[in-house]
Amino acid sequence: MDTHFIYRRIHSLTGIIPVGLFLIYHLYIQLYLHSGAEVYNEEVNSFYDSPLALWILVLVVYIPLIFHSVFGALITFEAQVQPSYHYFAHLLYWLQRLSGIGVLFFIIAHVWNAQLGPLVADTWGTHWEHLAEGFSDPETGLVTKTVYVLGILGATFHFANGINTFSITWGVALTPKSQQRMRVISIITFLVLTISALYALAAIW
Amino acid sequence: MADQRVIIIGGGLAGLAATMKIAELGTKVLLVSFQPVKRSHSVCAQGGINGAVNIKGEGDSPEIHFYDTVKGGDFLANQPLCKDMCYHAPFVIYLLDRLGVPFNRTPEGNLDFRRFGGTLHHRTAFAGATTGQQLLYALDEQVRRFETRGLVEKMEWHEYLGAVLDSEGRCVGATINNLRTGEIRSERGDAVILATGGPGLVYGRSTNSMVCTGTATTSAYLQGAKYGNPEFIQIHPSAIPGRDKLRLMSESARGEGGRVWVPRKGGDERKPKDIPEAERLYFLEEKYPRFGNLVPRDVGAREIYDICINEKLGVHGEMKVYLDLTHKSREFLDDRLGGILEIYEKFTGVDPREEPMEIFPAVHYSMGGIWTDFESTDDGFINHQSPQNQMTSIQGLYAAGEADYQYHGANRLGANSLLSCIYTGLMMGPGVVNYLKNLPQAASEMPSSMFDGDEKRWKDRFSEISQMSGSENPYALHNELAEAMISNVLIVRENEKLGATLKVIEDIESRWKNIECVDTQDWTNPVPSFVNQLWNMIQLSKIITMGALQRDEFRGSHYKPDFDLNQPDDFDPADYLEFEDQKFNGGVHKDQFASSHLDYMERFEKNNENWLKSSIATYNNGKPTIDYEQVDTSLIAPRPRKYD
Amino acid sequence: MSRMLKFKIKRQDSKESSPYWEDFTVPYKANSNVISCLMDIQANPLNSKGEKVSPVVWDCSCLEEVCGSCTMVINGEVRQSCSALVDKLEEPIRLEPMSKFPVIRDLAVDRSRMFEALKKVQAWVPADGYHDLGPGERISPEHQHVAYKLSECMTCGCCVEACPQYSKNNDFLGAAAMNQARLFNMHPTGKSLRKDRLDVLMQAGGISDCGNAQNCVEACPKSIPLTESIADLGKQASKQFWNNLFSS
Repeated sequence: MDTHFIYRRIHSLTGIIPVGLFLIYHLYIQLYLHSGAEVYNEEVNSFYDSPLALWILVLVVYIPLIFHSVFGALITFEAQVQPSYHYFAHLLYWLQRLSGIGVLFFIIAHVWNAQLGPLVADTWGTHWEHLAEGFSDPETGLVTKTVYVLGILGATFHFANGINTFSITWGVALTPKSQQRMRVISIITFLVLTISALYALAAIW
Repeated sequence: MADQRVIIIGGGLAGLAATMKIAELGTKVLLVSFQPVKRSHSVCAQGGINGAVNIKGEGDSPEIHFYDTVKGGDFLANQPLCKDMCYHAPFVIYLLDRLGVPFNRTPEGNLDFRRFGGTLHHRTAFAGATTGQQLLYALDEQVRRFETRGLVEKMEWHEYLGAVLDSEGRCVGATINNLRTGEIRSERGDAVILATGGPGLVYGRSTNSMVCTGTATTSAYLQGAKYGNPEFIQIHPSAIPGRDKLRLMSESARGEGGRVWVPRKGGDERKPKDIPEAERLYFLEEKYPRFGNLVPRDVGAREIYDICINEKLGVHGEMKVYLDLTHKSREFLDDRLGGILEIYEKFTGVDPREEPMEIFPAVHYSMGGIWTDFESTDDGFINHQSPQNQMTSIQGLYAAGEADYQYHGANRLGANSLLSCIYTGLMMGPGVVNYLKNLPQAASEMPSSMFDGDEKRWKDRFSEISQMSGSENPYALHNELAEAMISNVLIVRENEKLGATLKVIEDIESRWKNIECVDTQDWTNPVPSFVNQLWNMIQLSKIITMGALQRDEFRGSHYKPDFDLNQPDDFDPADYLEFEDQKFNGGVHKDQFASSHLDYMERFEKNNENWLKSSIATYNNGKPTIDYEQVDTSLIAPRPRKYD
Repeated sequence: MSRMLKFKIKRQDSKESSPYWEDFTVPYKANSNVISCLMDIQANPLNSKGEKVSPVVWDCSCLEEVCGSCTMVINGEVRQSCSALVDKLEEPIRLEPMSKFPVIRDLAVDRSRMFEALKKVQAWVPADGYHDLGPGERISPEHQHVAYKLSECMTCGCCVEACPQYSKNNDFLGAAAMNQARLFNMHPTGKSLRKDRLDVLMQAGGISDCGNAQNCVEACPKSIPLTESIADLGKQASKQFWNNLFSS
């Protein structure tokens, strides 16, 4: 069997499992921002306390995510701009690629800001405070907030639209009708995740 | 013997059917086509393909199909070929079914059949309303399969210029023009098959594709091949008017229940839907209660002409009538006629499911074509092994499909063309291969001097054309030729006008020499090729017009009012058989027939003695002559046609 | 003076030469389409400046949108020029050759890649022979409906011209050929080559190179459900992938 096909199918799959599922879990955890610093930090730290945390992080999050994003960025360069075709699905096609590249940069910034930064600075553990400080910084707060909102929108869109294209790629949604249904599902997914994430952020706005 | 191959010119249904049959028999084929074969004019065929499978239990049979075909053609077709074709028709349909043609189905999953003109049976298998396209694709796919196996080599974007003949006049190859590079080469081939379709472009705008110039067959005629029945040009009753082309509105629209009418009152400008039933004249149904809207095409076209020109009842005072499908449900129409209704809607902006269509008659098909031979068996069929089948009067040069003249007599029945194309292609295969086996020498072993002469002749001709710098634009000149043909050699033919048209053609011929070759590039220049085609179209229009002028009778599509035998309204064609029978057995009982009938039958008999003959055009010393040849009517006795 | 129609035509003299735009004006006539105007230019080959030029070269055949020949890019969108009625087009009418194929001359392009793709996916029924073997299998009207629609593809090139994944630099098969693979994979006897077809579709240039832009289905003049065909093949490929992994 040709590796070409396998790589692309793995790329498609990793977007949903595990990266997409991780996104849902991750956004769910953020709702604890409303429960105050203590509870939130406890929630986050409890994951890192697990002896498997590093393994899970590397195998379930980092490797699939890096594969998905790097491979995705590479195949984006295969696309040709077709400016005169103003169809909705075509717009989604480009938004998917743009959001993918945008989110890649956001994730790099986010990992530095929320994970590597604190580790290097040895302020690990006080996640809530760290986030809240970043948001309320008089000089960079607005930028941080904007980057987070855009990053969230990009990620939820990329995932939600990814469900739609995934269902076509794997032949889950065959007919135009079922593809229409799938589009509704992905719109709902987009709205639920986006509202949930922005609501979470409201706790530290 | 060394490597042999057959050169097949044309990738429509006939060419592809011949290609796949000959390749199946293990012989190599060089398939030459003006364009990718998948785009050949056969795609335009819409309604279906005839075969008496009798799926509806109507008692249909190949024999009835044979009779309908011969009668439809006004007895001008050689009967053994028609018989063999009709008896093989069910097999052809089954083969296409096996090859994946998505024919419409009955609820049980059998092939569905629809009604068509000139028959009372459901005999036409169909795939929506794009049957020709679907059949062509199935054959194209099979040929592509042989291409990957190396048995077929395709030369697309190449044009046939002429046959290469050896010193004995036998065809040993073909000279081919590469339409991209402009390079001209003589290719070796042990036999050459012209499956190059019809010459609709002689009339400029017709239902034909832009490639249907008839150039290849005319070239064969100019090289000495006999050309049969040139004057028999079918006018299809229903086409959509257009500025660049007259798009076909399939007979199947009537086969599925479409009704033809005009307002009873001339100049009635109400919208068709506002005209009440009582004020509509369903002129075909009234005049032909049995066949109704499904009379053969020659009859339909004449009636439309009559109602519009003589009765002055044409829609908007023009040569147009309504074709009405609005009484059928949308679902039914989309399933069975979708393709053509979409075409109508796209080009006119009117939804034919809601509004009656406006249609008019247009040049559609040439019953005539290159004369071809056949070898019949004692029981009236064709010996499929005979190398003579489909061979032109030039040995080794064959013709098939619309390019030949054999199957449709003076008028073709709808849905018989797809059949005749595929049937001839398949049928001739074994004979062509046998012809190759018996050749003394393979073309590949012949000295190149045999081919150099033709190559040079054609190169010189094209370089002369490229240097033409007169004042006539070839495309404008073509429009003039078309105008003359369409005005005078169409449905109704009058000797005076035909004679005048011959003069016009001769004038155009002399002006041809003053053409300007408006494009002088070497690369992908279609102009020199078109200028050459125009010359051939001029030559062909001459024999179409001459044939029409000389044939002083009314037969099938060739209608000369001056020579109409005026069949009495209450005449029964069976009487004529009785009359002939009595005559054969010693004498006619004159009291048994009405005197007007007796007169008519005598006129009919006399007319057949004079004119039940194929017109054979030959080109000698730069001049056409038309002679006549007996028709094989050994199986069904000729009789007057009647459809009411 | 009668109304004139303005055309801007992207011309190219040969494969290698560079393209240039040339303006033409054609007298307006009722019921014109792009082709009838190109024919008028042929019969009177003058550009807008009144200079004598070589007539524009383009491909066309049936003029009723069943042969697929006359595809070009009209006012930025790919379509058949026969069914492009000038009354419905904004002026000046811009005509360009398709961008995804090598230009032969002016508006004529070389689409042989599409026909080669049909060979790759073995778009045919492997019939035993052309002699009398009786009728084919019975097929339900529902099955016929689906097959007929897929079979209407005329290899015109609209789908791949509009596709952002199809380019001169890659070897993507494109929607048209994949749709044919689906058609023959569903045929009672055509499906005997199903595995071979899927093997090809699972290589570079195959099904996994589709980016789901779905321009193909929008651009298809015959409204063939191309996205459905791609999804269907995606499903077949998924199964084959599974089989290859665990059952072979």
